[in-house]
Amino acid sequence: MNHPIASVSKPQATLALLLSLCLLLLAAPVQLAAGIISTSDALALETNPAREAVDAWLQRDEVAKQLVVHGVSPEMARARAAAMSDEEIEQMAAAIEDLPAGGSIIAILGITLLVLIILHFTGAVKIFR
Amino acid sequence: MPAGQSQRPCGLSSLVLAAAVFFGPGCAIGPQLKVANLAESPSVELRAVPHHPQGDFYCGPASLLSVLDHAGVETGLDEVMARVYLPDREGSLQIELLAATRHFGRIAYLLPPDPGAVLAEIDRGRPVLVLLNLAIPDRPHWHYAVVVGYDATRNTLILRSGDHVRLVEPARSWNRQWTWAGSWAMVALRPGELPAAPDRTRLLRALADFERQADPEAAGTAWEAALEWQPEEPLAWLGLGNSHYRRQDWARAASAYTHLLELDPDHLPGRLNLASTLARQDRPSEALQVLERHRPDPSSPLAAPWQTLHDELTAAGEATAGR
Repeated sequence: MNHPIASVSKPQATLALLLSLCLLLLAAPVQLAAGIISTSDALALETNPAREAVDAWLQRDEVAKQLVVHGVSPEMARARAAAMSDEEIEQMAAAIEDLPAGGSIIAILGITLLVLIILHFTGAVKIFR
Repeated sequence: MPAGQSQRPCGLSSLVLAAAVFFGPGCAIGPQLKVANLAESPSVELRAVPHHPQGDFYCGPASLLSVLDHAGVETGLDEVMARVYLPDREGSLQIELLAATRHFGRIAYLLPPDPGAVLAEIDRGRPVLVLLNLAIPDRPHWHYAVVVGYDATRNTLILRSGDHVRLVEPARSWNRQWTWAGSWAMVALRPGELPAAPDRTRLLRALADFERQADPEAAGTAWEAALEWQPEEPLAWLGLGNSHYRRQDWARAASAYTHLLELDPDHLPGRLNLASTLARQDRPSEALQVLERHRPDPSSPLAAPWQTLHDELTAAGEATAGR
């Protein structure tokens, strides 16, 4: 049987190991920013002491990349991601595609038009006379 | 005003309006809302809230700009757009409206999902930014607007919405659109202002998020207002201490943290921060004493920072003794 693990090449395995090590090193849940515990960290500990240690730094980077994918300039994307709280970053990272974007309408408009045009040309309905 | 026109969001073409009219204000769907039972006055209208025409898709930036303008922020549509508009989604996300509010130096406070909370803000003279769903739950059409008033006798709400400077919406249809969009509403507070009816968790969250990017002076003002409201709120004392600390006002920071520990001797972040402050004041042995009075459980997320600080203070104490 061809186990997937057997097909991982040596450089790939080394890379995976390196990346895992990086992740481990970066996953510090609470840090002394400028020597003190920030109010938002204290609040997070209070509201959810069992909160999983997520790496806000990596996620923030990911959210910035997502903003770029959605048409924001790289520089502004970093600034916008920096303005979000850790909790907001988590929400964004989890579901940027699914969050409601107030103002979007053209997609619905486009699909409706397409359906009408197809219906018209297949002869199902006569819209354009 | 024809029902279809009142539904016109963000420069929307007439084709989609057909659907909008169908589910529009004429339909008596959704929970009834009696403004008279929730509001203080027969009618209120914040006429001074500016309206920004929106062009296509810009209801998020335009609505946010109205709210920021009213809260005394001097900025323009381009600056707000750059902060909240997502070109590919042709709209704006709620989280980004909150983050941008803080970027422009105001506290973004999320109201509880209760129409009474929206009307209470209007009673205090504050416009409310809301997310609405102009279609149906299964096929949402998101739209941002600003509630600027209400009329209890007519049972209507008054909004800046889309290209409408003054849109009068029956309370029930507004309530349906709002409920179908998750009852999301925010206000922009100046540092030092509190919402009409503060909710502890919501306020602390809003202020802690504000503090992240605010200048320490503004953050301090915000925490002081919270303490006037709840003088024994430990987290507000921590916030006040942290803003003094960031201004390097060690004496005031130490006093705030000390007061916090009097209220709650088990407050570990307060204890760590007091120890850090004493260290900054060149009092490592006192700092060590404060720290050692409460050692966190090894499983606590604060165990590592505690140990780091403990090691630093021990080293500093030895260096002082060796002099």
